[in-house]
Amino acid sequence: MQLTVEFSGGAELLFGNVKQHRVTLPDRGDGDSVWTMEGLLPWLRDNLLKERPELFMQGDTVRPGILVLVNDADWELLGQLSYKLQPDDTVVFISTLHGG
Amino acid sequence: MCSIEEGDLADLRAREEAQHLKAQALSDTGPTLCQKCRSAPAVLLLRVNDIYCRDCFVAAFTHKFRSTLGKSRLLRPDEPALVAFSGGVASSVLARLVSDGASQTDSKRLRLRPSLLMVDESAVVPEQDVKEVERLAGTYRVPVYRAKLEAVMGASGAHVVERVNCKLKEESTGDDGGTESLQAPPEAASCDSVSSEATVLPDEARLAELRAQLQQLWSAAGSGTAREQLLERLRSELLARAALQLGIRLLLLADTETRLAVSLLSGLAGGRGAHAHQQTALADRRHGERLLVLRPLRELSSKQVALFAHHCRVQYVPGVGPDTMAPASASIGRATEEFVLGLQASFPATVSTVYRTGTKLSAVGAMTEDCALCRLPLDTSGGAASALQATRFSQMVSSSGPDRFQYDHHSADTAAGDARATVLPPAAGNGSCGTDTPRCVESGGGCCGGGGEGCGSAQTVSRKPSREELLERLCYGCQLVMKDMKEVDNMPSFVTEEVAARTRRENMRKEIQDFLIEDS
Repeated sequence: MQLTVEFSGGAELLFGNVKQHRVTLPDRGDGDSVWTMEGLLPWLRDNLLKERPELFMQGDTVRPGILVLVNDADWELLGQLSYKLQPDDTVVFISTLHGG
Repeated sequence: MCSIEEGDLADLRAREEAQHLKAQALSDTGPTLCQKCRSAPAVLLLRVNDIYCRDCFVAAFTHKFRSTLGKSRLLRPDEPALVAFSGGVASSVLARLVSDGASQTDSKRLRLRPSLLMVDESAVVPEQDVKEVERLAGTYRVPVYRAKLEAVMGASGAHVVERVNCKLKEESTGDDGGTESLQAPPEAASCDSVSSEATVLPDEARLAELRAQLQQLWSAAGSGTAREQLLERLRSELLARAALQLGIRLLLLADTETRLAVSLLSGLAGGRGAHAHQQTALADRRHGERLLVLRPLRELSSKQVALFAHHCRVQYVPGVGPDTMAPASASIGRATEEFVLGLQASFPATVSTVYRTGTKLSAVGAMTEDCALCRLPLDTSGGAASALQATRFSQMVSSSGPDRFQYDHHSADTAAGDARATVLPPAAGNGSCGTDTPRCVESGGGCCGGGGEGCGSAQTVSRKPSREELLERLCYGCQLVMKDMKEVDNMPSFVTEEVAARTRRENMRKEIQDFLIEDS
């Protein structure tokens, strides 16, 4: 499944300073490629993150202070970690730590 | 009060469960509608349960900004305003709100003439991308000024700010009033400095000296907290001085509710509780009657600001500072930020509650003098049985060890401080009387009686204040910052001038003490 993942607000510093990434999530192996946010986060941490994983994730969710939008909508309105990703979704991570 | 009972934990668990269930419910029923217009799908979740569509959110956000400014009742129509611009998300959003508001053509136009002021902190924060900040500043189509942080180290009268000229590459076409704020601004090309009569900088050599002095001061800071606090105070003084030099009475800061809540708590941890009110107030008059500092974003959280920036395509640079990407243990500010944001994730009312509490706190019995560094009222008078005296006493006892008491182990610094005081860079010009001429010729006045027998006595007037003299003129919070400094030789001129002036005044007062008639 293909997704667009964007980082801003400083979060891009953890991902090689690249703001926009086009990622292809592999099939989960059991034929049914159901990806939820809960699965995406560790995948991003393990495959895209360049440094300091503790600044991106805390436990099984994002670190407090990082906003997550899926297709411009707040992920809390979509079920947060349990949201099922659709092909060509755009996931945006915005860090709100000491900005401005 | 500090014990956790069974009931509390159960409440916590219940609340987490409820939130989780709510999230599930929302995802199950499909897209919900905005609670305000009930016609567009909701895309934002603010506070606990408020859901909005994009347009209603942008409208509400802009309205909040306008009403906060309007509520202050301190603005005169069409007066010039300086926006402190760092290129970060909050100041970029503020710049967008102000420039869009001022360029509206209808009756709802924001009656201000904005310009942007950016601070070049590259002397101590090498990661700052000054060119990028200038480029971003240029996209707002308002005058842009730049001040270098090292200029604050120099004498009060010296110029600190210069105009930056940014040429736009191309104008964006097809703006219509309604959607102006949602379109991407034009790209600015190059930015050159433009000097005019009003904004002439000190020459390059002097700037280089000041830069070296600033870097020495910076390296004397013994902790991340000290650096953080020092930077904040220097920046605040620089912004004020720049505004005054440009003749602008109004300075807008982009402090969000979240930032104010964090700085309130870290301020309490750093001994600045007495200034809680001024630090969170809408209007800040610490720089005197000639300058009004406003915080129009104080009721907007950083989440709202970041979402506005996202939805309205506001460009910004990530905030870089001495503690970017630093762990929570790097400074009090970082630890407090982690704490507050972590709490906010589970309890979305945290930030607004902390902030609102800060606005209600005020110090009792403010002193008449101001701190030489942060310009807020001193809070060090205490009394015979005050908490401050208790703190000092226990500090004295614990630092003297099990052997005999030493009154102040910084007194060793005093003697050394005076010895160093005779050597000064030639162009310092801070107006102390240490010269050999019988008459004092001073630029700024405030000398001890001008030419009388008080001057010329070099031993009472040292050019560089000793640590003791310095600490006496600082508020408690700034004293704690100074205690973290390995040495205080490189303090900026505005501090040393103030300390020297007060010392002279006090010496004079002592001399004529017997002749004064006190009110009884």
